[in-house]
Amino acid sequence: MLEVRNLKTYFKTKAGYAQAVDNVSFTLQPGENFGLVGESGCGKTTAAKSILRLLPPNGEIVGGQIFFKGRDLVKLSAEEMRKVRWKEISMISQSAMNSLDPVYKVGDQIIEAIQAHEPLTRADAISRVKELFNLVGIDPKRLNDYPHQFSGGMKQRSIIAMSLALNPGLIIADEPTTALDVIVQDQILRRIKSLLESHGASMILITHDISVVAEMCDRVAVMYAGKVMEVGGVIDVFKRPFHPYTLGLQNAFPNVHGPKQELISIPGSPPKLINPPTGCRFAARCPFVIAQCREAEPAMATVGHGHEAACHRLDSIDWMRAEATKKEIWDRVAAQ
Amino acid sequence: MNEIIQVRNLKKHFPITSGFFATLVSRTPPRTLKAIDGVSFAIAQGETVGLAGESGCGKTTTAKVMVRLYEPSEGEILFQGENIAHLKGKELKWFRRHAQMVFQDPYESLNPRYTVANTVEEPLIIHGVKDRDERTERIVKTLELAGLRPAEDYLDRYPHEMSGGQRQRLAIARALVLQPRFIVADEPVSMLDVSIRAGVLNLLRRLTADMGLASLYISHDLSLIRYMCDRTAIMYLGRIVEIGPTEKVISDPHHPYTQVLLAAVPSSDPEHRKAPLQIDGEVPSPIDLPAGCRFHPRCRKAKPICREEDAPTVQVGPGHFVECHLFS
Amino acid sequence: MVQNASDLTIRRPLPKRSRWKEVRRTIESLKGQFVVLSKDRLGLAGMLIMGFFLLLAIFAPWLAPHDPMETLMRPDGSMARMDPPSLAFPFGTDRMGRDILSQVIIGSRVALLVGILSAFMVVFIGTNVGLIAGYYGGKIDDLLMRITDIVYGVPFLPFAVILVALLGPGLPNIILAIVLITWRTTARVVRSQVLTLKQRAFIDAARISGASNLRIIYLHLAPNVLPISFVYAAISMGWAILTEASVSFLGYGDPLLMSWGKILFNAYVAQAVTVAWWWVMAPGLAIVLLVLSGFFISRAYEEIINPRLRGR
Repeated sequence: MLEVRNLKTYFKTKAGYAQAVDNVSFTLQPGENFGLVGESGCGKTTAAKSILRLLPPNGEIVGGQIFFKGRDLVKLSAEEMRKVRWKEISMISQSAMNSLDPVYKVGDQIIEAIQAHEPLTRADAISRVKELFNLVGIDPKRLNDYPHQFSGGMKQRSIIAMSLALNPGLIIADEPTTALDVIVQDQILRRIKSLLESHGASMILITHDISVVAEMCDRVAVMYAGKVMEVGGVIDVFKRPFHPYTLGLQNAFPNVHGPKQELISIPGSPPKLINPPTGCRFAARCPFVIAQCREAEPAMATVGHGHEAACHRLDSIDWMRAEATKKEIWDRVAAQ
Repeated sequence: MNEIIQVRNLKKHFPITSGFFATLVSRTPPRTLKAIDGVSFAIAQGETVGLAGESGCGKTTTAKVMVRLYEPSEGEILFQGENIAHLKGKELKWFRRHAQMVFQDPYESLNPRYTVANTVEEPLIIHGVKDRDERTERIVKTLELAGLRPAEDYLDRYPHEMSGGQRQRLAIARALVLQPRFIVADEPVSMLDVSIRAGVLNLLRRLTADMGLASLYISHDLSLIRYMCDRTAIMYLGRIVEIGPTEKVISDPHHPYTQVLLAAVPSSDPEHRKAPLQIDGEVPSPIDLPAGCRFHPRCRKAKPICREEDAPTVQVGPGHFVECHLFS
Repeated sequence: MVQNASDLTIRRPLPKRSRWKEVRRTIESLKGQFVVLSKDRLGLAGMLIMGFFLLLAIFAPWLAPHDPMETLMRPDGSMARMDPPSLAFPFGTDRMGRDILSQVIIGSRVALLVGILSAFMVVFIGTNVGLIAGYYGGKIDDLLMRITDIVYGVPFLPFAVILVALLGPGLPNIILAIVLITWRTTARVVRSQVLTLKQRAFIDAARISGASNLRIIYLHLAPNVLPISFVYAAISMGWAILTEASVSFLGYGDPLLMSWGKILFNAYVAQAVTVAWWWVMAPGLAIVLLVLSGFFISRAYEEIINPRLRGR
């Protein structure tokens, strides 16, 4: 349904071009939920905004293609793209619940969004909104309430309702539950999942939390510094990871269930995207780095069915997996 | 017991002031927001106690009352045996030497116009360290203790020139420069990047042990609580519903709310399928509290008595207590 | 074993922390602000105009070609009364044969003195009131804000005129009248800024460190509030100059001093406003330019407060 091929999105800054998304490729099958995981600044939000062509003025897609239902979105005109947005691809962003205008009723805001894209009469739009509220579990009578009368969870649910209003085939959710408490998060995620199934829609879920991805997604791409490091089925990537960064990420998430593990951080910080280093972008923080890593960028190699990773040392993966659980090897990176 | 700080039946109520018209027109009695309504626990030297719960449960208010940013409405705060709940002036300042806090937002908790040196120096100046060289020495030592090495590189930097992790380490250095006995960490890593969190959390753990601090760790993220805390208290609507050794609370939760909270945490094991949560509705407003046990409207195990009477505190294991009718 | 931070020994010499570094850093930041201001075209224009008038005022006695009170003669010996602008008298002469250019140059001293002094005092009073009212809240806030409200109710110009009429026409009284009224806006704005800043975590952190109220107000809140005060300083300067000109125009100016308003007053009294346009235009233009420069600078200064406005 969606194929992103060699996408390059750069931001123009005073110091040069920041290569926020650099040669990113992934595919999404119909009905599939796809996760984009990585730290802040890795390019996941930029990739999503590129798909919807919602980049800020200094952002530009400088290369690559985004095929959606056969059409290359990059080549569409502004008017054609406007028709795609909301009707075919919609977005739930992290702070969306704060972007509800406090002086207008919630129902009115959704009606306005619907009517901007579809020639519905007000009466029809109202009944559609009531339907949507039922879907997301809000009492339809509350469409006459103002945003401040809604709890955080309800606001987010009304945003989800808005994103479903025109029955899009693809929903991009950017950190949809980060600002919410864990019980509300569970309710919202469950609701999103069931709505996707009942509508036959797909989702791209963007988050830094690998547990949310593990719960919601079928496939996942791990991004770092504008590039995809590893991509594959969620079970494959999390149970048999092939990239040192994925290994490092897993160390950073403490678990509630299961045995208590030691939390290990990945020392250092992501490279500057304006003049990125040659070779593998993770080289400076990788405990398994060798000379080749700093010279040549590793290509994506197939490591399993539908599972790829970009690393020069894939043949040593068993040893790397064992080593990655030891705090000392990561500490040694800090000392470099 | 080597208890450094203890709270007994701590309460903080905020009066809700209605508008002028509302007081003229309506006949309802003045309402109060009972942010904390009877909280009791203690923290020993070198121990980290966790306060877990969702937003609005009162954990941040408890922390702020314990460091005396607020004065409690009722109850006692015993610091090394002395009740500091209503101290003022010089005595309050004496207490402030010993109780410090690290905030959630590393940028907001720093004065943007103060350099690193200014920020860490200020507590020393306030508490009368007059010699400039002595201050410099302590600043350098504390910065390095917090992981900002070499300290000289950081002294003249401004917060906006530093990363989130560095800022939080600066906040920790500021909190520790006076060598306090009690420290509160309010969601100290929730605004930091995932790969940086471990460093800051491990730093806090090591410092608590090395310096013999009594630490209060606040979070809504149970996985972090499990990592950091020796004992955990689960809060709901201003009261502690369960408290005990962390591993026991997590592996053998007794209170229905604790059970739901634990079940709600997403697992990083993709093959683990969660069962639907055993809970109804949403958190009610702390202004209009339900009668009886506060949790009963949402509890799937509620009995008739839960609607009428406040839940009693029952011991269910060594150091493990629950506030629930199901166990009495 | 409990280890203290003091157990760690420092093996290398302590870094030098000179007090001059703090001073140098402040100068650096001022320089930086200057650069930002000059990038904005209007800001640059404002600074140039202001700078020009500043130099004019400082060197006025040497720059003015004639004594502003001196009656001048034409080459043919007659009094140079009501002469339109010419090479000899670029701004023309007034009814008493006095050179208007010289009057304007000398008058700039009063304008700048009033402007700068008033701006400084207005900012001082307004900022302090705003800080104290905003920080303490409660009854103190109520009291201070009610006083501010009362001052808001007083009409500016009539008050200035009355005060000057009561206390006598003199520059200090004019400045007093200006300051007594104009502090109100700064106070309101600073107070609302303080109300927002007060909520921020670094204020809580300062309190937990044991900072006294005074320390929080003057070392934490004030530095973050001063940029806004400066904006209002520049604006108040404009208002002060206008007020002084108005008061003088109405005849209540300091009789011993030459000011731009006085020139206009003279023109009005001589019933020459419709006849000798140069007599009115010269001081009018000077007032407009100087007041505008103040407004331009204040507008550009907002970019320092809000970096997102830069490069517009």
